[in-house]
Amino acid sequence: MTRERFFDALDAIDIDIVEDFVLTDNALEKRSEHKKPKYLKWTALAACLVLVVCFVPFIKNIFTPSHVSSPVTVRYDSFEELSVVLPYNNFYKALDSENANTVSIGMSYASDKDGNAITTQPLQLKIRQTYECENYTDTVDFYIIFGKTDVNESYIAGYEEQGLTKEINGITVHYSMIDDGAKHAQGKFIYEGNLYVVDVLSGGSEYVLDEYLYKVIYTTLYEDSDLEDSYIALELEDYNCPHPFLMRHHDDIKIMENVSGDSVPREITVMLYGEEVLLHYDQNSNRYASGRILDHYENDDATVTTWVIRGTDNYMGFLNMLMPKDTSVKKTRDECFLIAQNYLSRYTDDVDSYVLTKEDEVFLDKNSNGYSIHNYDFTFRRKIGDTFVEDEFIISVEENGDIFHIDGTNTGTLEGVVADDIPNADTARPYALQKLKAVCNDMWEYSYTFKEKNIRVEAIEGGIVALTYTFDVTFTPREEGKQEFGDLIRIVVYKKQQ
Amino acid sequence: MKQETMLMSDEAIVELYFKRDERAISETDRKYKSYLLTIADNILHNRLDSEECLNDTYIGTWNAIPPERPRILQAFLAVIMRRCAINRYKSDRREKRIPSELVDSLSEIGDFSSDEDMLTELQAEDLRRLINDFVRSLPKRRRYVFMSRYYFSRPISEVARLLACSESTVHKEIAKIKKELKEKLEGEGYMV
Repeated sequence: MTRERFFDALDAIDIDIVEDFVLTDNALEKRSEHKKPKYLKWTALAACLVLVVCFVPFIKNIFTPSHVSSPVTVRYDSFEELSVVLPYNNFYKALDSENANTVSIGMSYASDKDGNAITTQPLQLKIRQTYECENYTDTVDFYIIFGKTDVNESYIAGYEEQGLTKEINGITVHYSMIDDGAKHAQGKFIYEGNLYVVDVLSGGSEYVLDEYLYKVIYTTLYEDSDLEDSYIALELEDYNCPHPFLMRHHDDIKIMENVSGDSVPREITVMLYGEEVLLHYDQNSNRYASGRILDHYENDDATVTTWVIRGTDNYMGFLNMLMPKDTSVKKTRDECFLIAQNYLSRYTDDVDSYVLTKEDEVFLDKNSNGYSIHNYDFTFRRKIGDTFVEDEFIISVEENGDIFHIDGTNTGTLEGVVADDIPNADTARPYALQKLKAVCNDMWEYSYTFKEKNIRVEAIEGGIVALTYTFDVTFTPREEGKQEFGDLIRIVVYKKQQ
Repeated sequence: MKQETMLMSDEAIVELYFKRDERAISETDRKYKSYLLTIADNILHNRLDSEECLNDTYIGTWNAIPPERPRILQAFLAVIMRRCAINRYKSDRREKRIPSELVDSLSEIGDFSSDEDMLTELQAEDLRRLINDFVRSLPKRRRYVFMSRYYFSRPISEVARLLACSESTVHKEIAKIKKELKEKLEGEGYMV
């Protein structure tokens, strides 16, 4: 197929291009980790707006002239220039102007009796941006109408009351789809004493108002805000929602104040496009986790984590998390092992030997009350008649020092190994070969040959001898197109020492 | 991650491969498992398949190093992982198990490469050279978008997140890349 041929050709792309990509990718990833979550930024904008709201009336009281005059519009060439009079820098950044083909900025002011703008009395900011798409253009007008507390005070043309509203990040947006032959829509909302209007006319085939609304309400930006330590903020975004209008981003935000240590909820349910996703608190990493999580990113001081969560329908969600500092005292790895060993002692009386076969596997279990689990896997060996039996015994210790779980399972019998033959290594060889063939035959796409390399004999506790047979195995593919490969396979046979 | 400070350097891991020390695999796994699984997930959207590809990648890496000595281990692993995932994708496709992200990015390519006859006339080597030259000629940002979307089949939303821009912006950049690639092919005398 033609498209696949393109991808086949991509397969042979030069490695230095991939290396360059990986370096860039890592740098971007790092940069994105440094970014504070969006909700951190609201406070700064709120502070700016509060200042403006408080400041403007004060100035008005001093300077407002007694006459009535027309507004005067002043054009600004750049946001740098505009920010001198209206320092909404985070708002400007959110507008994605770098990718716009054209940007025009006009601020309307009240005027004095000579018709000059009173720059301390802004009435309306209008920013128009156009975006050239493949064969059409989006025109987007952003308005801020200052000093308004009711969306009905908007005078921007085109809005038709259709009773459509949507809550975005706690803000009620009123919107309208305008029937003028194009994909034209307008949204308006009140924020901190100003009326914001976003008017989008798209030449494409779909309404894109939500994208620009989203930029204004979410993507904005407040760089220098601190939240208290005892604070959890979870912000979930999901994408690719098929709703045609204003619902492409579904959001679920949970804020829990004054929580820390044991008051942190052990389980939280968030909604990912109508589907409940259960998150478990992992006290070890002081994060919420879920089996749905694909990947995560942290900022430098590990206070903010973005989890990438997958829904059942191949859509993705991003969960931004700001957690309180964890102040609980947890057991160290060594302490956990001592607890496991002490507990183990009650099971070791009637066995020939035991060894620790898997050491300190640390993981989170949803039932572990938020603490990580240290898992120790012991193998017990017993002689029963002429046969040696291995049992596996798992002891799990929570980091708070509790025994979380004990599990004993019979994992295998070394059949056909007669106690009297044990000192003679040759009697164990057929058993080792049998096991090797069982392993190799699992690779059904390959045939194999092997060379026996060496035997190592090792005494372990309980009078047991471990005979380690090492085979150098070559796997040859049965079909073309696969690579031959080799591996060393070791088979260990345990025998009682005479 | 806090744990990253304890991770072995790439150079040290490569040395383990050269010494045929099996810890090379476990250290690779510790450091790059998540990264590699994401590459496969973007193509396959099936965690079990991705994990099988991960194992194949480790086997492939073990066999390739030595004699290969990768300059950037992460890129070396990524290339092998992608190859494994694409192979698995083709195999899944034969069984009608079509993942979405690769299909999405394939369909984007379809806009300009839908002329089967044109591409059948291209020798595979010529096409590879063309694409290599084309990717090299792209500005850094567009090259990043191209590689993210077409080489690693990343979702648009992920590319937008990393570039700190909107998905719409990424769509627009992809449209520009496609236009440039079309011009490049036409410039080489091929009918597109």
